[in-house]
Amino acid sequence: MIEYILSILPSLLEGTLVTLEIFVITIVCSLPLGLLLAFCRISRYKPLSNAVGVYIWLLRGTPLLLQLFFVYYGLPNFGITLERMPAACIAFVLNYAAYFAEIFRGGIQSIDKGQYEGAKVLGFTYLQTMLRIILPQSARRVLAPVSNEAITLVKDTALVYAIGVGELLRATKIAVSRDAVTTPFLAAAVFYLVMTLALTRLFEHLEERFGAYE
Amino acid sequence: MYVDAMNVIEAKNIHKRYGSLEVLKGVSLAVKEGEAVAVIGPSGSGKSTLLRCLCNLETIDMGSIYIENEPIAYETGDGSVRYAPDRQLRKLCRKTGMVFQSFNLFPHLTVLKNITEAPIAVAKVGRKEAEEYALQLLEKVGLTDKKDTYPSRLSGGQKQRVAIARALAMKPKIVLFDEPTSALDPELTGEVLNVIRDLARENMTMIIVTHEMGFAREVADRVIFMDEGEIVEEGKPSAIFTAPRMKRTESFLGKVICL
Repeated sequence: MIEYILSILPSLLEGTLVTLEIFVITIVCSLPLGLLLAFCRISRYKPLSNAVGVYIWLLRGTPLLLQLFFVYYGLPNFGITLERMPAACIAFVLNYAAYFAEIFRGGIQSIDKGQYEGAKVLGFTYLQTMLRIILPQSARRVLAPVSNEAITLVKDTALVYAIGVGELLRATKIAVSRDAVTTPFLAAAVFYLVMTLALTRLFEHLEERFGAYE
Repeated sequence: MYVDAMNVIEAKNIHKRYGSLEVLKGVSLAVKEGEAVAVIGPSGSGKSTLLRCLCNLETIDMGSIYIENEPIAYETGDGSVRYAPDRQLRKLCRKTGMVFQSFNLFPHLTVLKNITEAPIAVAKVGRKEAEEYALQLLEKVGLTDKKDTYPSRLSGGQKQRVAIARALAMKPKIVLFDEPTSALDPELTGEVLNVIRDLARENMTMIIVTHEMGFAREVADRVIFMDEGEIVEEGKPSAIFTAPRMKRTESFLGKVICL
C-alpha cells in the first residue's frame, strides 16, 4: 500500500503543481481585476456600472464549466484559439473576478459614511480616501469571504480536467484507470486537504493581522 | 471688538432643500477672525445642515459661501449656484476644520496617525514635522500617553479630543463643531468642553452647534438662534439668554432651561 502510493506520488505531485499554477495565476490576476470591477460597479457613471453589473450577472449566472468550454471550444469560432492552460486560466480569472468584485463592492460599501466625510473635510481626494481610509478598513471585512472563495478555487481547479489539462485530479484518474484501484482518490483527497488547510491557516493569520485595531 | 477683523467665513442667503423639505431658508452669517459663535436651536432647525454646507459636505441650492473672501460657491446671473473647481474647493475647504458628533476617527490608524495622516498626505508636511506638531496637539488635549492607541480603546470623550487635535493638525482658519458632546455620556462632556474653552481663550475662530446652553453662554462671543431653517435672532450671549427679543427664542430657552 505504502509502496503503491509512493509509486504514484511523482505523477500526483506533477498534477498538484499544475493545480497550484492555475490557483496562483487565478488569485494574482482576479483579485486586482475584481477590485477594478468593484470600483466600476460603484461608479456614479451609470453605463459603466450597468455594464459591469451585466458582466457579473453573466459570470456568476452560468456554470464555470460552461465558461471553460466556451473559452476553449467556443472562442476558436471567433478566431481566437488558445492552448489548454491559457484557456483554463482566462476562464478562471474572468469568473473569479466577478465573485471578488461583488465581495469588494460589499466591503467598500459597508464602511460608514462618516469615514468619507471625515476624510473629505481633511482635504483628501477620492483616490487618497480610498487608498488610505476606505480600502484598509474594507480589507479586514472582505478577508473571510475572500478566504471562502480561495478555498473553493482550490477545488474548482479540478474542472480543467474536462478540457484535458493534466492537474491533480486528472493524474489521479489516470492512476485509478491504469491500476484498477481507488487508493489514488484517497491520496488526492489528502493533497486537496493539505492545500486548503494551508490556506485556512494563512487567512486566519491575515485576519489577526488586519484586525489588530479592533 | 471684531469690527475691523476679516471675515473668515461668510454665507449669504443660503438655501438647502431635500426634496420638498426646505432645511435652510436663506441663512446669512459672517464670522470674523477670532470670533466664537454658538448656534443653538431645536432639533431639525437646520443647525447641522448649515455647518455641513459651510464645509462642503452638502451642496447648497441658492446663495453663496466665501472663505477668507474667496468663493466656495456663488450665484451666477441666472440664480443657479456654481461651485469652485475641485482643486480650489479642496484647498479652500482645508481652511475649515470639522469636528463631528460621531467623531469619525479612522479606526485602523493609531491616535498619532489619525492626526498626522492628513498633514502628510494632503498638506505634504514631512513626517517628522507632522509628528512633532501632532504631539504638541495631543499634549494640548491631554492625551499624549494615548498616541499609539487605536481609537477603539478610547472613551468617547477621548475620541472627541483626538478628533479635535486631528482637525487642528491641518492648521485651519476656523473650526466647526457639530454637536461635539451630543454623543457623549454626561460625565465625559466636561473634558471636551474644556478643550474647546481653551481654544476660545486662544482666540481660535469657531462655530459651535451645541445643546449645552451654559457652555454657549460662557464661551461664545455671539449666539445665533435658529428655528425652522432660519436665523431667528442673534446677539451677545448675555442679551440672548437674559432678554431675547423674539418670542420663538424665548419659548425655546424656556423649554431648555426647564429641562
